[in-house]
Amino acid sequence: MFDAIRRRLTLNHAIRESIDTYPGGLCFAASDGRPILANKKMNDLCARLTGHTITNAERAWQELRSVKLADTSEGEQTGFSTVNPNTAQESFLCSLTDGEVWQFRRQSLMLGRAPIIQYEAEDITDLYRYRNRLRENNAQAEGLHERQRELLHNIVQNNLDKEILEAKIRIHDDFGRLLLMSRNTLAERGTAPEMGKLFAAWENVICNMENAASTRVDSRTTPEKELVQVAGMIGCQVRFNGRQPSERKPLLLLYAAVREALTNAVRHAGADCLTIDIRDEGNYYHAEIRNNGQKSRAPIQEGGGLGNLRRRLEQEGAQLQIDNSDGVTLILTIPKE
Amino acid sequence: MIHVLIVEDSAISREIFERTLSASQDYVVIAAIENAANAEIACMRGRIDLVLMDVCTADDESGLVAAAKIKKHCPQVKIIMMSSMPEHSFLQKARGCGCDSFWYKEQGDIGLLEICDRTMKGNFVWPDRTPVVQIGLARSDELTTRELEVIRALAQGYRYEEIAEQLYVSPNTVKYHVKNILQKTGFRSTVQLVADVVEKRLILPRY
Repeated sequence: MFDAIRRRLTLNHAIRESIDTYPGGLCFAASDGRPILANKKMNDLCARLTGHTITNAERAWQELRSVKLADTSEGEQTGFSTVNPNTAQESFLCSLTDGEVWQFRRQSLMLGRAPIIQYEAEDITDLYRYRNRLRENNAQAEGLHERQRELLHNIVQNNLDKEILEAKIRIHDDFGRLLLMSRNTLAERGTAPEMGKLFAAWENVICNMENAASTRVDSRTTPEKELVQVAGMIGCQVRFNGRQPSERKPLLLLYAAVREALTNAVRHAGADCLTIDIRDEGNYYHAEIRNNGQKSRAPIQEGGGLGNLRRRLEQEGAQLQIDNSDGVTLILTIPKE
Repeated sequence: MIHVLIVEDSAISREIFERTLSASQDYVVIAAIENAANAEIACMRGRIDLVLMDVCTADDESGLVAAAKIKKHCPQVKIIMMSSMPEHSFLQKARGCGCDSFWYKEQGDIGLLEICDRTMKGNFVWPDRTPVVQIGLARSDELTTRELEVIRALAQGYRYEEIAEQLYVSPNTVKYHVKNILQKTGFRSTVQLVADVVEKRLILPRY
């Protein structure tokens, strides 16, 4: 009997010694928190974080939770698992005053029929530092990527601006040269043939200037003029009431809607007149596009055209409503900015 | 008499095309407009037989999109897609839209009237390849289709991971393509590369 007791004590001692030499914290407790076995490390960590060793494991767990690091709240993606519903495991991170970071985990185990709660603590100081550095690098990379995206976007526009500027420089140079020539010819009282040459040179440069301007900057074809022209080709009149947007983006959106309305009105309702009423409402434009075609109370099927228009408008912060109570009317709200 | 619609954002080019076509008794220009988005409307009543369509038109409206719409609703209308840009994807996209012919405005290997005549006779007139431009140390025809796809995605501002997803390859494959492109062109960075391809009009991200 003494041998059996001795063997049992030796076994207990061996278990105690082995879990005390385990580098992490370890504690087993009953489901009511009564500690069954806790190693030195776990007691030490608990004492350093809460001021006392473990008397009730569940209470100690709650106290540790109250001093956990802010970026380890449950459900948040931190890079360290917090709650695993499959194994009923919960975890969080705590930082000691010397900068060490420990991950605490709690897990339910079954020992025969008795539920046992296992508490673990693991030193993840290096891992935590690497994760934070990775996060910083990712944020920096994201910033760089945004700048690069912006830069790429500007390259196209810059090329266009460059061409316009080159055309302007050329016209400016031609003008300057001709002005000098004119001044010299007038000062030296040039002959009639010289005057004729000068006049021809002026005509030439003015013609070039008109061409350059109409090519790029100040087109003589306005959006309204061109739309009215093509609508006329299919026998439909387009009438604008109210001031059209002076800003480029709202103007383009309005015309995209007018084109869609025009195509549908002629194709499906046999309309020959489209009316666009525009109101400036301060921060936005309100526009209503209606036609004089056949009225149908059937629900409107938003196919490719209308669907694409709605997507384009909504991408730019505008809204589209379709009213078919008295023919089909497109109602638009387009922000100025 | 063949009724023609010209869609071209440059006023000078519009005028030149109009004059060229009016020199022939077979063609009459019904309208010359600058915005491709209006072209579908102009074709609706069947008054147009032939459209000369620029790819890049006023207000950034795409001639390719307009051509696809016209072909969907008015398949009898012949379309000659035109461009002066060496953008590598235009030929393929124009075929995809159902265009009848493709004309490089400034290449000069075929005249406007000739391509119009041949197209109206039912021929499909297509150039063999896009014009070649110099990109860094490489000629544009030294870049593979896949490499050009990668450059396009870079020009649109996508990350390697996003490009990989788009092209159904791994991020490492994208990196491999980028490394090869930089090796061929001699550029130090992708920004330098993109700036050059966009400036040379080999890739126009908006179209």
